[in-house]
Amino acid sequence: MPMLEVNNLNVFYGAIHALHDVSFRVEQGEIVTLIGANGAGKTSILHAISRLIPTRGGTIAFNGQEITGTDAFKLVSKGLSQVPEGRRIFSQMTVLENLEMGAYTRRDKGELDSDLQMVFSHFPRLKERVKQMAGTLSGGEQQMLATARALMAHPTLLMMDEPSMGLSPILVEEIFAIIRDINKEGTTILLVEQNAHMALSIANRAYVLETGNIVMEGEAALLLNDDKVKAAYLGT
Amino acid sequence: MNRKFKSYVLNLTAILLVYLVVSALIDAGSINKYYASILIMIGINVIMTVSLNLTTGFLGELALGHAGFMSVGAFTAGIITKSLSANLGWDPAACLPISLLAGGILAAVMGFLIGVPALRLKGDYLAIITLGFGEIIRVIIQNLQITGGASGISRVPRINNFSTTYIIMVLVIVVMFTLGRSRHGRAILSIRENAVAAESTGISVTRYKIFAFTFAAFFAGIAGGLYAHQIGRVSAASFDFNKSIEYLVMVVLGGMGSITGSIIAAGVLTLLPELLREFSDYRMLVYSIALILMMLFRPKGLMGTAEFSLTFVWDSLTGWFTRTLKIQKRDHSPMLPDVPRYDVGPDAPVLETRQLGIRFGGLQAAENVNLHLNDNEIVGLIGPNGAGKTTVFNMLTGVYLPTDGDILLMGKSIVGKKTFEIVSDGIARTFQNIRLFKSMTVLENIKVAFHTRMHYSPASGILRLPKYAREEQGIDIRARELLRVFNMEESADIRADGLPYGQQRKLEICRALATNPKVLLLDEPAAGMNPIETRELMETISLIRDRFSVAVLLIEHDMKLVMGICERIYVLNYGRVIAEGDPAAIRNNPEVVKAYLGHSDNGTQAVKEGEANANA
Repeated sequence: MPMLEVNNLNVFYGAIHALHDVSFRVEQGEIVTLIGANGAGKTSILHAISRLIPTRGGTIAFNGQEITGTDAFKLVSKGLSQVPEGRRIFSQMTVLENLEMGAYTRRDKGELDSDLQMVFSHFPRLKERVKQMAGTLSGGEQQMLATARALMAHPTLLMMDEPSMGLSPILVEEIFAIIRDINKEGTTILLVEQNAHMALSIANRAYVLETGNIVMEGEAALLLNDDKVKAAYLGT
Repeated sequence: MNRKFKSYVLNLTAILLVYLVVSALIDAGSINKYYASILIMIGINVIMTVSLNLTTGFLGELALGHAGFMSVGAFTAGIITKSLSANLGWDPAACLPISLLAGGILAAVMGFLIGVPALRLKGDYLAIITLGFGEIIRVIIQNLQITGGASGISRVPRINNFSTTYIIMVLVIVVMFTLGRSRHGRAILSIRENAVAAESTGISVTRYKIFAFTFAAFFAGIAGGLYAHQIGRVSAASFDFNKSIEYLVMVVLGGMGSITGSIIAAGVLTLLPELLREFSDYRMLVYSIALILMMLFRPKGLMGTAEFSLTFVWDSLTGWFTRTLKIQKRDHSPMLPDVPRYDVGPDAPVLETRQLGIRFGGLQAAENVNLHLNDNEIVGLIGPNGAGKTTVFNMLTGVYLPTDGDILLMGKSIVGKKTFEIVSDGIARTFQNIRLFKSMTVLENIKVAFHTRMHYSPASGILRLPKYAREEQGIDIRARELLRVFNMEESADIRADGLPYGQQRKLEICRALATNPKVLLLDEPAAGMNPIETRELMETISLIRDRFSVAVLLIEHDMKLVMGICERIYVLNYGRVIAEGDPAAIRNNPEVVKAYLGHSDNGTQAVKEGEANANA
């Protein structure tokens, strides 16, 4: 049984048909990436799975359980977390409070300290700013915070929407290394990225999206060398 | 038939027709006195609602004391008519224009006095302050001799009639429409959409907020005057907080930002309680339930921000019979680019910072930053996250006031100037997270940025004087021209938030260019773009430099872009410049590699690809 199985998902924005019968799956322990141009529907897929936008038809099963009728906030305690695009942090709270909010649904508060140490080891910059209001962080720092906050929830499936956006080159490498690390520690990952090259080089499998349709799927390593993918998404 | 002309004819005919029919019915007695007075109350409430919509719907500021302005107008007008007719023996009807105007003006003065302190602040201060004002004015009026204390004033000559109310109502509506479609109306709308972006396209946000608020208060004062002459008795208690809320409900129900919506809502909500009279005790209950249901099923109000258009109805009706062929006239005369307005020596920098620094509390966010930008140069500003890059942009654009150093634009210091003034001086910018006027069209977004290059006054906008027509026409052509340069002409009439992501970034750049800058600041223009889009963006930036002769300073983490198009690069770390030089020097600088680039081949690779792109 796949950890996440999406079948014939359709999403409409008013009259616009944004996702057409999208079907894909994520197996336990995988890193799966969705690539495609801006506006292809990648973020819509993540939002649909998180139940942040309504879907019309289709099924979404998480660990075999249908979740199309579940409220968004309940998914987090089921082990499904999303790092939203565009740094949706709690700007009037401190960095530390943001991280604590990430652990909101967890019962084992005892591990809070060790978890904080874990995210600070990944993002030493956040440790420097722990008492600062999150809204006063720079754009890239807010991006790190959004990722760190999601990690605090110990998700079994982590969905990440453009985690490398606005990060310096050195941190882009760092963030992909972190993704690989948390995957090794047992977290399954669904990744949306503009940086298709990096995404494909750490993913197991990938799906290519064009205007709301999945047009290609396969082993990430194979897609990385596919001529069509190279021309359209890698710019090489 | 010309569409504009057709709309004039249709609307004018409708306005006249309604007037003639209703007044004939009143004269003939088919509409009795009771219903006539309801119609007049509708007219007064339409004025109140439409004017409140200017503040709340178009400007986007919540105001909770609109009835306060109405009471100022009512008492002023009532007292003036009474004393003029009693003491000087004037004909009350002749007093009406004077007292209405005086009521409006006094209300406007009040509006201005409240608006100046309240609207300077960001946030919901206006709501609180207008709430207080509404109560204070009520208490003052109840305790003043001249306003008759708690009982108010009575025996105001009841000289208001349907014609007067109707004419004034139509005038107010027309003014709202014409104002809304002038550069001033666009400026007000753009503030609602995104105040930060409005300020950065050269619009004085505070000034326009005060303008709109004062204007709305003026009309509320006029409506108050009509009310006083309609009822004949005025007491402060009838203009309490509930009254203000009633008008707010009408605005919300009609749709924030829709004038026709306000008209319909004012009509329905004035009529409804009267029609429900037979339910006596239950009528307020029915009224409230009707309201709740409306808001549940149409949360954006009856009309949202759309307007009811007679021309549209007419076209749809006639469209059944005739098929209309639309031929759009297009002017292909090349008007761009503007001639650069400056002459600096070839070696003198366009923009220069000297020992620039800023401290937030204990945090030194930038220190001793010396940058310079030459004419027509593309310069990169890179550095780790949190190094202070955007902070530097915010100082250059007057968002932050530097604590040290100086900023020179063509040799003149701009430190201490407001953001919108710096835009007219010649620095334009884009934002890390795109800030467009989302619900306005692509074309309107550009037109907002042309604001400072038009000069007609609100009066010529409202009266549609030749200057208005000339300038608006010129701007329309130039805005389309600008869009054409960026291959976005096709999208001119769609909403900005309907554009794909890459195009939104492009529109933001386009809007910045419309302010005719000498320096363009781009904050992470390639963020969220895929490699293909990024390559297009590189072409766009080079095109900008060549066609508009601006100097570009850009913050970016995409090394292909930075290494590919920048002639020089500054590297910032912990608020200080740690390196400066051409791309090759930067990528080999060990300190930069350590703090920023990581793998040195990260930069090398990018430089190679960048050069390859530049050569291609």
